[in-house]
Amino acid sequence: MRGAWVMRVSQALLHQDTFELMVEPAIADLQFEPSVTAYLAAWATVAGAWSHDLAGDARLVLDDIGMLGALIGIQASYYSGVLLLLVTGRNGKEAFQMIVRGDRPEIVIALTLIVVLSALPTLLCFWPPRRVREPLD
Amino acid sequence: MTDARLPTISGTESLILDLLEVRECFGLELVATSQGRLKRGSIYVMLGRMEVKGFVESRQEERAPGAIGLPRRLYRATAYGLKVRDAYQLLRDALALKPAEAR
Repeated sequence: MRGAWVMRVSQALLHQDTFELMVEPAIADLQFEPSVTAYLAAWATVAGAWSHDLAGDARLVLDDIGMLGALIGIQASYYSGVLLLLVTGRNGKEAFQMIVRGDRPEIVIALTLIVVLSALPTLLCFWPPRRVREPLD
Repeated sequence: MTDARLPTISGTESLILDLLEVRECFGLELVATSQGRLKRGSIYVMLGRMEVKGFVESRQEERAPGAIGLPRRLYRATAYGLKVRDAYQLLRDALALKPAEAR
């Protein structure tokens, strides 16, 4: 069937409603009037639909930025606290002052890494965000 | 004051509504009648966004039994889409006035 690859790739990449709204008509046109231009147009439509999905998903994630920040913060605080106490062997206040003074740059790097590693699983769990289509007026 | 967001409409969306106001069209027909202003690679993304906004609605074409391939989609403008287009046209006209003309 013409456009089978476009269909497979776009079904894997896109949300179902985006596929039906944007890509399916382009594939129908490709099957109705096959040409190189039609193939290029179908792939361009997939790219446009993908950017539409990414922008929509990013907006939804940003709407929940407070909750995501809290989840990342909880993980990062736990691991950072353990690291600081184990590596520096001091109490929390002294460890914090040591970081502020910049005595141990390797610890700052490790803490940055902890924040990144805490953010990744949280973002992966929430991506793509659940979408609810708003009713039209 | 209401929190509801005002609908926005681009120049290309206005053009699509102008073309769809006359009659129901396939995407390819819109590209052909736009005299190069609409592109085949972006028309369905645009129409999809407009459908989500409620500016256009679509239906699948009626086909003979046993026809092969996906059915094509026919688009038409909604009353809401035309109303938003007209409102924006009024706004554009009003903002295009020079201060002397506005008195």
